[in-house]
Amino acid sequence: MNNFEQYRRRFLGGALATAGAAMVPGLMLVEMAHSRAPEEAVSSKNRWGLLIDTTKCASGCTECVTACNTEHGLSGKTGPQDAQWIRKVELTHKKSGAQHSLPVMCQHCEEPPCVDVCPTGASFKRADGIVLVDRHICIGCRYCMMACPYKARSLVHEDLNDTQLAHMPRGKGCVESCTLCVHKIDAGENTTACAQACPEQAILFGDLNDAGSEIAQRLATYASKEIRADLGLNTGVRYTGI
Amino acid sequence: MQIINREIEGNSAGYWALLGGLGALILIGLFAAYNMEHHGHVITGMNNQIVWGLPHVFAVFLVVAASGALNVASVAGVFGKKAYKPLAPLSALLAIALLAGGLAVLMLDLGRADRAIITAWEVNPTSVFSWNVVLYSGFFGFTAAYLWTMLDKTAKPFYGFAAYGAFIWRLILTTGTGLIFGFLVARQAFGTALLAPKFIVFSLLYGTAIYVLVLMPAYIWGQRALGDEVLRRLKNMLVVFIAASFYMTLVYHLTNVYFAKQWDFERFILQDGGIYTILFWLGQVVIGYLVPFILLVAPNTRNSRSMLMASAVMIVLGALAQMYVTIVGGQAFPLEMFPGFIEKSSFFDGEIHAYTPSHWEWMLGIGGTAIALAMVVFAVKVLRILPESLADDVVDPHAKK
Amino acid sequence: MLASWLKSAALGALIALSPLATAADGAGVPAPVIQKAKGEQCVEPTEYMRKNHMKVLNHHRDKTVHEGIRTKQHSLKNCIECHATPNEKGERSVLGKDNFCQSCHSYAAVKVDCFQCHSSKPAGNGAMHPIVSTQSGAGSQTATSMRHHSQGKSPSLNTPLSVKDITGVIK
Repeated sequence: MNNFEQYRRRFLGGALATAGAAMVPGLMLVEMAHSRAPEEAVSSKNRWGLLIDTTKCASGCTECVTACNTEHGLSGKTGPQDAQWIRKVELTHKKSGAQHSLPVMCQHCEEPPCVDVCPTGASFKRADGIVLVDRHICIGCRYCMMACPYKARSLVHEDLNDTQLAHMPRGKGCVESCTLCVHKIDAGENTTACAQACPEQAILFGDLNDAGSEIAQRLATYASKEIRADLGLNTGVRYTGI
Repeated sequence: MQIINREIEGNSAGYWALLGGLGALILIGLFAAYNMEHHGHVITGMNNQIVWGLPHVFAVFLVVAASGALNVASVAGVFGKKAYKPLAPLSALLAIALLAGGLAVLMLDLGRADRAIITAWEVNPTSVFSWNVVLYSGFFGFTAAYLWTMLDKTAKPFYGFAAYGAFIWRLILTTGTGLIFGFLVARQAFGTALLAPKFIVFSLLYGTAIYVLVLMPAYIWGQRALGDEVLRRLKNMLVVFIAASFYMTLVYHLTNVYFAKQWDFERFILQDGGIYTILFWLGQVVIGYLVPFILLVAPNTRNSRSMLMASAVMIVLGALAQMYVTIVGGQAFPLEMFPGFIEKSSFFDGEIHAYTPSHWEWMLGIGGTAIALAMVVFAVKVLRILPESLADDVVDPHAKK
Repeated sequence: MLASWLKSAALGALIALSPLATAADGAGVPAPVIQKAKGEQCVEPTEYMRKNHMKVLNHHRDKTVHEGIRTKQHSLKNCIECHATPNEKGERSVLGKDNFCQSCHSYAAVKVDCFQCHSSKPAGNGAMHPIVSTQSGAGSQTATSMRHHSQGKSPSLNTPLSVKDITGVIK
């Protein structure tokens, strides 16, 4: 191939790449045009989830935890009675010594055991897959905390004395857990505080039902797993790298 | 000879002291509940790792014993053993009282106890707790009706229906109580169907033991005749139920030990678990099963009333130990989210969860027990629950000596 | 078959407690202070709100939590945005001796459960989008355009309330 041919190929490649990049904003605008109006109810058209790449997750880094605490007005303390919606778990393989680090939060299961056991239906799964606690009807029995395979739920053990953030009501005697930043999703921001905060972009938020979304494509391409896949809960939070 | 039921006089200083003492314990329990509600569960030893603690140990024990306490009446009403008929009213009363005490503890421990009433209409058909709202209320109804048919001659036509209804309802209720834990797939201690029949067998043992613990003092303090025949029958029931409970415990642990994935948990309970291991072996097995069994079977001691009382006390202590190991021990062992890995986190993953009950929890649990006992002490004074005499010739004139 | 001493005691207690019943006419209990909220009028007419605000909130909260419907019209957060006024500590809040929610509820002796969990203060961090801008004195067009057309005159919020108004709320 002579120089002209090489030059032509490079030119065409660059032109195509530029044209492709120019189209991306248009595609994103089309996505946003579909976002939900405030008076519209959520539907199962979407299923929100997270994909966490544990190979990017640094041991000792807790940016996601800090971001979650700040976003929701949690104290950040780690005593036995303090609420933790997300925590970093450090794993060491018993035989090989291999180490992993990953954040664990409510896994937003499709078949949540916490929803099955709640006597009042306060623990419920929203149509778009987010598992939440309706704290208006939570009686604080803690059965959901017993049932959760991921120990995702926390009880608020003491009075919060009006220190709550306006967008995150929480109160003494009720049970709570990661809300997948439902307030951000409903506001159209379509991300979570932990995903935004991760310096390595290890946490990817997206719509599992949208085949074109990055999360769906990655799940279709790379091997990923659920924690406690043996329970058959079909979680919305998936992990790669372990 | 006709069995005549009569209220106890209940005028002695001893009676009022007993009722007063139970009343004081109830007030202390209510004070604990007030504080827990006002300050939140931060004042208790329960936390995000051990979410159900000592109050639940007491409450589940009382509820399980309540169902078993009805057994004496069922033996008369359902299985037709006439010798147990005079014992039936106390059995039904005890069942109601124990259930009331257990439910009081459960409901006062709720994080939002003021919202407990909404469970009446916010029903989740897959939740055992929702079923229990119906099952426990129905149990009160059936047992109260059963007691009525025993006490009121005009209600006799409904006796059979009430007896069978209460019996079947009680089996469903205890199944439900066992399945509270049986349905928890995630925890290694639970998630097995065996817990339902295990709880039914336990209920028979605990309920009968409490029956003995109430009957004997009632007749001693009430200065009424209590013959050997009645006690012999109760003792024989206890022996059978101890053996059955031991069998259930054995099968549960044996199966768990068989599964490699359960070894860590079983090693924790049976060997390394500190307080849980002590409570299991010494509390549940030795004090709860072995010693009472020997005392009730050995020729030297099986006819002794004091040994019968002592055995009943030990069975109750063993019961509390069993509940503690099941409920708290089951939570103390961490969830295994990543088999094959050692887990470590700020949320106590991978470590044995610590729990020290606070005095508030003791107060609440004992207060609930006091509610149950106070109800019995009061009811035998105002209702004709206890037969005037349970002497041998009264109870079963044809009994072999 | 009550013992006679019991009968006398019960009668005495009934007589002793009866003056409390006459306190319903408001004598001796301070009337609630209704501080002026932001904007010209509420999202619904005042009379409607006095009678129905709890039903409105109860209904809306279920729609928000379970269906993700976050319209601002009946949202509690939006109420707080306008109705929060400075309390004794100088923070804008709906709780406090003379502040909006607590003042009426104390008078009516109806426990308000919301603020065990909900913040009584308006959002200030911009993470959500407040209807009314947090600059004082601003009555933004967005806020006004969200109001219903009121039926008639807009009642002044500074008139003292009579017992009849409050008992209408309780009913």
